[in-house]
Amino acid sequence: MKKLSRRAVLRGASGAAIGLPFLEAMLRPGHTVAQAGSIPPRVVFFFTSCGVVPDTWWPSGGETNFTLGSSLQPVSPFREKLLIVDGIQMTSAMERPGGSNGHDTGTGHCLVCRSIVPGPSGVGEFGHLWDGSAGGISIDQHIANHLDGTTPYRSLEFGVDAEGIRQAVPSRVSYRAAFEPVIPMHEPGNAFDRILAPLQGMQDPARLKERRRRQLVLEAVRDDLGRVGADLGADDRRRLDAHVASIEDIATRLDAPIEAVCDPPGRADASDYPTKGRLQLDLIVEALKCDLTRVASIQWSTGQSGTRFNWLGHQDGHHSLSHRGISDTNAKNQVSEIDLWYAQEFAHLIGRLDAVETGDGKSLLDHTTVVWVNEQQQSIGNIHRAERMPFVLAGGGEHFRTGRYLTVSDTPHGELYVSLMHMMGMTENTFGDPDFCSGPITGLV
Amino acid sequence: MRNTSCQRIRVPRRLAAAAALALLAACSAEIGDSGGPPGSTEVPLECTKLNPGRAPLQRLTVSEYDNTIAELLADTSRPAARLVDEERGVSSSESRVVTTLLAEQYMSAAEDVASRAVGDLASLLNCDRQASGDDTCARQFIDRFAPRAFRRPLSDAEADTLFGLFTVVRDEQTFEDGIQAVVEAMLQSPIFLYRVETPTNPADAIVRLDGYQMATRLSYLLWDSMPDDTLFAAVTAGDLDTDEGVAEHARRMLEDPRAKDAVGRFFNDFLELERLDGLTKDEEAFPGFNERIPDLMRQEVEVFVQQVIFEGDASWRTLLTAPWSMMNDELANYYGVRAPGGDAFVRVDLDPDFHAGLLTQGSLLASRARSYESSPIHRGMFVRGTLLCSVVPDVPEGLNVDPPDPDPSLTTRDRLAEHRSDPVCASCHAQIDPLGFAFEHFDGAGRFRMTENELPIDATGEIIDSDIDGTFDGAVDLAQRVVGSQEAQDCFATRWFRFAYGRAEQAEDGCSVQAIRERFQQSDFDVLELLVALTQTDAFLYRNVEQDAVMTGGTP
Repeated sequence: MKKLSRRAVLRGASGAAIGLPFLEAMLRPGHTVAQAGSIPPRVVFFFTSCGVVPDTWWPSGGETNFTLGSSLQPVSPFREKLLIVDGIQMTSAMERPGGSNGHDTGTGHCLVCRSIVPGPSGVGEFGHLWDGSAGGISIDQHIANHLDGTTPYRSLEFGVDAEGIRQAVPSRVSYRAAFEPVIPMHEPGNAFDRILAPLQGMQDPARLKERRRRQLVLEAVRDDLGRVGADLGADDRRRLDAHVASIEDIATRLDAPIEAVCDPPGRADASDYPTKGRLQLDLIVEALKCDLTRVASIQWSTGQSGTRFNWLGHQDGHHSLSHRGISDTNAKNQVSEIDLWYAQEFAHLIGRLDAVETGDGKSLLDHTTVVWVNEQQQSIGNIHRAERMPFVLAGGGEHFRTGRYLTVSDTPHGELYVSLMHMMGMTENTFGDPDFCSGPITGLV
Repeated sequence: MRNTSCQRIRVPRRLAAAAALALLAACSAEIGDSGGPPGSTEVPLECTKLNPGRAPLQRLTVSEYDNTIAELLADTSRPAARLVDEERGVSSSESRVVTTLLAEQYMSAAEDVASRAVGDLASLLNCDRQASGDDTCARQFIDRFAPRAFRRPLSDAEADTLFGLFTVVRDEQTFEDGIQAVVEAMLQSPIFLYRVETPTNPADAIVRLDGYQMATRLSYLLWDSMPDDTLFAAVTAGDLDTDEGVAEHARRMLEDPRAKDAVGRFFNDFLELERLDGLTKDEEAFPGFNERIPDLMRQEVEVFVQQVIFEGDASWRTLLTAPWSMMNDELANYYGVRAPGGDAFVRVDLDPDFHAGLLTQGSLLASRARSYESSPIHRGMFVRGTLLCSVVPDVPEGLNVDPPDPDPSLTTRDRLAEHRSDPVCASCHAQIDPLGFAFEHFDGAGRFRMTENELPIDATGEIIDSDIDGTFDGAVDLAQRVVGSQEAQDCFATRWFRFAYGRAEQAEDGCSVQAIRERFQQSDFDVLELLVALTQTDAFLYRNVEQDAVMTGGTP
């Protein structure tokens, strides 16, 4: 825990925002860059749920001479920047699930790779741990911890109809720790107000005055947090410490005002799923472009998603369709249509990233790895499959050898995350439950 | 050709082994009581020692925050609507941590509220700055406002922090900015955002809440808001130092209109009314079900609950058996019953052979159905799970759970026959489906019917593995059995325990749970008396300081 400081009170209002083009913005003082001239890597997690239809999803052919399946056709323009890995499984979810509901374990393990844990209510209907949690920190937050202080936001989370459902575990993918879920920003308009609007008019007297008052107010709030925390028991103290850390995070940002200048789009809002999703994807691109963060995620709906793709003419929700039997061709076709629709959104994101030039002859996509992670491989009948998970990596060509359909053998998904950690400059060789993770996947780089 | 319902499908060998184990385990054993059954054990409880259980730190919910802001500053903008905060379900306080995003939103909400408040500085301060001086007015404001925001008197250190903040901001900016900063700080303070209950005497393992803490628990339980002046006065007078005093104030508070919203929130949760959000139906199967219907159904149940509890006999039995409901013309026309004449929701008497309170209302039956047909499974699960507190295990891995294809020559009931003929399915579904058959006189869109596919409705069934085993014919018959079930009575009391205290019951709460259940029974199942009983338990009146220090499940 950082020490509560008096610096805001002692130092007065100051802080100059300077306009910088993209490359310089990333090399500005205070930013950790390995060597001058190199552009640091970024990572984005793209979460969807309920699995895919394997027949239409997986490519065919060899490592480099592969043909994309019909569901992945939208990403074909970026074929040379893809790394599709076949043979990754959520070993932790298969061997040490921690719960009996397939969607609890699928969502709880997908970014965490550990047993899920029950809350005070224990096990409820359909084996759900109603108020349970993933078993620890998720990979995005683990990477964010490593980069802490590098960018104005340690990480940014976006959601599309991801407000959460009654069952706690399928509601969330990102965690700071067990029982500390990171809730995404649900509304694009509010997200814009939070991260992009402050970039404009930083030197307006009214804004400087507001910032100064915020610093002083948070000092008072810290005083109260310190006094309250001192009297609490350990469990309550843990929760209050998380609150203190959040206040520190805000205070740090107030003390070191954001200096990036980019050209954000106007504020926009939407209530329908497709439009909201596009706006959130575009905000991710802007946030990365402006170097507001190097770790982002987008959570489409939740685990066991009830999203009804009525714009595709579907009557039933995603979860319900995904559980129909193998022989229900109609349902299977509809799930393939959903897979294709998400692939279009994935293609939109990587296309937008690829359109940003970084001044080194590359694009922002080459410096960003986008990881499409699913809650399941497939849900059919009443099976929730965790083997042969449909992972797609896009971009990150500065680190990974892309343009490949790589086959691996029953490899735990924690090992893929270790590969990402190495890409992000970390040296640890394990993530999640160490019993199911023994180093990076060697064939990726 | 599709798999028929509940037929085994081909699975990988590894899964097949797990599935086989799960199949054996499914419902061959009896269905478990949820939440570890305090009070239902065979061994009589000894309730001679105080045992309050563990009470985690509670942070204001979205509605508590909004109601508190309204009470504190007469600001009814409901600023918490924009907060990103997990609220669904009960007893989730463990995971309700303040993330950076939420802390920023608390900051924005506090700034919005504070700037509106200083917009009318004169009435906020109620102080003559010319005569008294700025510092005195600021001091007086803090002394008057902060104890209400914090729901208790301030310590000197807390007062100094706030006055210090005022001074710095006033010096750098303006007087008005100084006051605004003080309001912003109070609304972001953990003392405002959390219901902090640190012990008055940490030497004791078990402590009674002090008056301010008691007033706060009472007001958030019964009003979903902060204490009023009468309650603060009662604290000063020592009225809340006795159990009788607490009960007396609880009764007073239940007379107040604010109690209606608090009770309404319980029923929203209990009935999972969020299922009505965006509910659609197949237009061919259910013509007439338009986008307004789900909201009308929600109003029906909300007004009905208010009517029974606050205007009627407040009886849980009435809620589950009343042969009447509350409707306006549009909803009555949809249901095909006599329209009461107007847009207001008023009492409509229904056929007592078929209608049983909440159990036959559209909010329950249309939301526990498929888009094209009824769903006896989901309806049965409501009775089994929500009303009887039985936990039905998950469907074993490897079973196909497809609903059978619609078949115009059969009824829904007939198409679920395999659930009874296949022993693997029947081990669980015999406990669920028949309970749902009781509601087959109501279609998937909540409307009454005498036939399905021109075949007569069969609403008979048998309830097993309960304290009310036996046969029934229709919803009214089943409802009569349910209100006679001690399991259902105890279940309702337990659900209130969880909702009221924001946590699951633990072994230590056995006597508290038993006390609520007994009082509920003695009052002939009066919901308002149940609420009073909730203010009289060890779990409500006391705190276990030692247990607070114990780390519990899930922390790495």
